[in-house]
Amino acid sequence: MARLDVPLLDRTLHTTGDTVLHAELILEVKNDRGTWVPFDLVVDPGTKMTTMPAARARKRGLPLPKQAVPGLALHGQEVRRGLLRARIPSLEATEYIFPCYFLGDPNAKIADAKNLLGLTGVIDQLRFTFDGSPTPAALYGVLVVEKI
Amino acid sequence: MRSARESRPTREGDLMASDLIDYTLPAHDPNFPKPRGLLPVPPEVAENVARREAQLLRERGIQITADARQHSLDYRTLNWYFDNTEVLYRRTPQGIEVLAAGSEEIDQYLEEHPLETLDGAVIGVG
Repeated sequence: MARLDVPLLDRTLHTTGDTVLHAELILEVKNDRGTWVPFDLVVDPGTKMTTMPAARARKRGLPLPKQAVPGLALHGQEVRRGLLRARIPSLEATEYIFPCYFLGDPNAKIADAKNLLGLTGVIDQLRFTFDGSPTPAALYGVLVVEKI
Repeated sequence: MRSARESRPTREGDLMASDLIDYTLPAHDPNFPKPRGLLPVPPEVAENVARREAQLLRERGIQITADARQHSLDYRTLNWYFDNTEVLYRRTPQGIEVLAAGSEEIDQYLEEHPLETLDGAVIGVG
């Protein structure tokens, strides 16, 4: 089974001295010119749906629905319901199609929000395991990514 | 006529639920230089990583690899200078290299250097 161990990312907060962890995965996403655009996404099991600011998607040429979904908002922002055609470097050459909500006005200034990789339409294709055991290769442990 | 739900105001630029912004980081100080190219590792970052390395050796007998040390130094350094800023970066054997920061600078950089020519470059948020 194809497997990728991604070291967890650590940072120490200036304000509290706490070391906090998160996991990011690099996805190459195909844009409308057929170019694979590499993005960092935070792997967030608390997130229902993968999200990306719509303005970022537009700037990088990702296919984006023209119309927002009426009556749906996430974090107060309008939602465009689309797809990411993606692959994961270092995890075979499989192409995945993940549902994605593009947030906000595509023509607005890009919010510096992180892209989030959520559960829906993802965990039936990839298995994520958070393992916080430090190893010689990872100071705070790893996110294990496996192709299902 | 639009329903009450549809007419709710929307906001641009909201943070995601998982964002945790440490405003005391130099990244948020407009007077602190934000370099491009290979980033120098701040002493505080090097100390924090060295402290963890020593702790792992002392408490668990784990000797971390040079790659693991560099991985932590790279991403901590990126965060130090560019917390919550969109960046085009890549990891190199010498450390982390920022090619452009901020959406417009990234646009301009990618116009001059197409992504296909940028081995290992990634668009992320510091």
